[in-house]
Amino acid sequence: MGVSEPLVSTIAVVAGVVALAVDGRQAVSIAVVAVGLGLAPSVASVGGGEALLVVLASAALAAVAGVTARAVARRARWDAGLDPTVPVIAPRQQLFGPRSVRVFAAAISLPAASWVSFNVPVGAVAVVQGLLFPAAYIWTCGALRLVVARTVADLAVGATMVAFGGGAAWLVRGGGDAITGLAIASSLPPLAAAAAGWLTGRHSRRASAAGARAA
Amino acid sequence: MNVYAVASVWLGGGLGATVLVRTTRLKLLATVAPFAGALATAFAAVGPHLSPALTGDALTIDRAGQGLLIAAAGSFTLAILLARRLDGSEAAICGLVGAATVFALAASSPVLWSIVLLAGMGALAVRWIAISPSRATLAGGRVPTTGAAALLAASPFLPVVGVITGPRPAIAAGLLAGGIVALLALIPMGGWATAVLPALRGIDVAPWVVFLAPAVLLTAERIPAGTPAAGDAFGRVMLSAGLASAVWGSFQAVRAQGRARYVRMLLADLGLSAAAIGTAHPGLALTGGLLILLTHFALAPVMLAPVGAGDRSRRLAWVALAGVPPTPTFWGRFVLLEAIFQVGSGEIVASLLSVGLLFFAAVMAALPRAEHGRDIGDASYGGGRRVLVWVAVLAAFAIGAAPAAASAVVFGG
Repeated sequence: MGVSEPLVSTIAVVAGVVALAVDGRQAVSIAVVAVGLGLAPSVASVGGGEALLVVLASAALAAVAGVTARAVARRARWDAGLDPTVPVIAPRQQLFGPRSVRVFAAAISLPAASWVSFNVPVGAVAVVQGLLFPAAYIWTCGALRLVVARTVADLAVGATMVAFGGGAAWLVRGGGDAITGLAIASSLPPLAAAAAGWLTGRHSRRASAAGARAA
Repeated sequence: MNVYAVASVWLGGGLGATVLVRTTRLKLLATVAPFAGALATAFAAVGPHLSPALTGDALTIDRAGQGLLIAAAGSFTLAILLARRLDGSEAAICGLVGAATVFALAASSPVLWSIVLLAGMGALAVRWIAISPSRATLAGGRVPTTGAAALLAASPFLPVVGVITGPRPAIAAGLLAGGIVALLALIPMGGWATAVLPALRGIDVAPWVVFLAPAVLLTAERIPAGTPAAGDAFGRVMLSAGLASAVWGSFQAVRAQGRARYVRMLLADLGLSAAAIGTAHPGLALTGGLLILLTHFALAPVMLAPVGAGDRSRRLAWVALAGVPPTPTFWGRFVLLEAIFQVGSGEIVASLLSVGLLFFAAVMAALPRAEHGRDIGDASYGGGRRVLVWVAVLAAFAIGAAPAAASAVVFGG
């Protein structure tokens, strides 16, 4: 059964927009799961079940790693640190907020990814064209999230998106090490989710301790 | 010892040293991290290294990479010993970034190369933001990580050997060059380094100065050979960004004071090394770049330490950066100029201007009391640290006295 390219691309676009727009303490885990699921149809159509397993396992591992790291950090007796969800610098008064900027970034990523997909051939063995859109879109959204990042969580989400996008693009390129490259790229999202979860848990421990003292 | 084992030792040593420092309060134990890493690297299996641009799947560290890691570990150890305060997490960052550097120097797969640079730079950025949340450290997270992301984006378009038509070679070369420029803090993406490096403690910026930037420079030396069709585009970007960084960095070095002046000089030297990569003379670019790196390995911990680390020794360190014989920077810059001179008259003028301004900046800083009280953490050092500073400065002059021998010992023939 053939795969509908427009459907696969639409799913990737929805995943990219979700990952770009998501904020808060669960942002990294939500973004990783969204991008993993969004790229799954594209990866499965290009690389088969093995590639699908790599991406889904990475997304699941990232979700588990984020939750586990947060739970462990709440119990560990380490120094409290920075909150990854608090902006590093105070935002200025501006017409559009950070999420509006990111949605705009999602919009301009569409033509950029489309151009790359249809104009730049990839392929280690056989040259292919037109299959790169989902990966290119996720990568472009991730890079733009890095560029407009205001928090550590933004950096973590951006890094996971570019890792998944880059890995999926490497799979489209093909060659003997296609799955290996995808697996290498997919190893970053669980690490980023664990780091963000750890920082969040460590900070919330301090916040809850301060609340208990005040009470 | 294979690459995985070496990287594991770096990582384990860093985490172990952090636990040791926090439980015993003995900050000297932080040196366990670079020492264990250097020891493991010394026993690493050495073999030929393939450019990531050629998209191989081998994972071998070459002799130059091995020497670079060991010298970087020595430099980081000196930075630890010269630091006034340590909380132990410096060792963990050393382990993380050291392990990432091992993979970056060994990888011939562009995906692995870019992912480890992204991970290493990301970890360092989180550390910088945690220490000092500011616009500068946020930029230190945004720009270089986006650069590493650009390297990852270039991966699917590689290799470009034999591809001579269409936009693919240009896209690959553009992404590779953009990524290298951002990671090496060259113009137009170098603002983050000029803001971050002078603002943080030497021990906090040392992982970028001694591990990541040298690793990126060394791997970038091999890219033109792997992108023959796109070699012109990649080389042109490196040449212009490198020369612009060298001229601007040296001009700003004349105006700046203290640590900021050293940072500008370091970035100017990185610019000259990057420009040489774009000259199509890889041998000269590699030799000159390694000599420059070796000099900064010896001097960076001293120059990034708080002022007062021995007035006379510090002034002598500025002399070592002047670029006149027999200083080590003379030989490094001389070889780089030899490569750049073969490009054209505009490049000759720009590189000479940069070297001249660097000389002027170093001489101004070496004058008695020129730097007095102009730095953060103005403090005097005790006897042991003074000795260490002298050892580092004299090591730099020893490199200048026998540059070929020093380079051969550290990086192999």
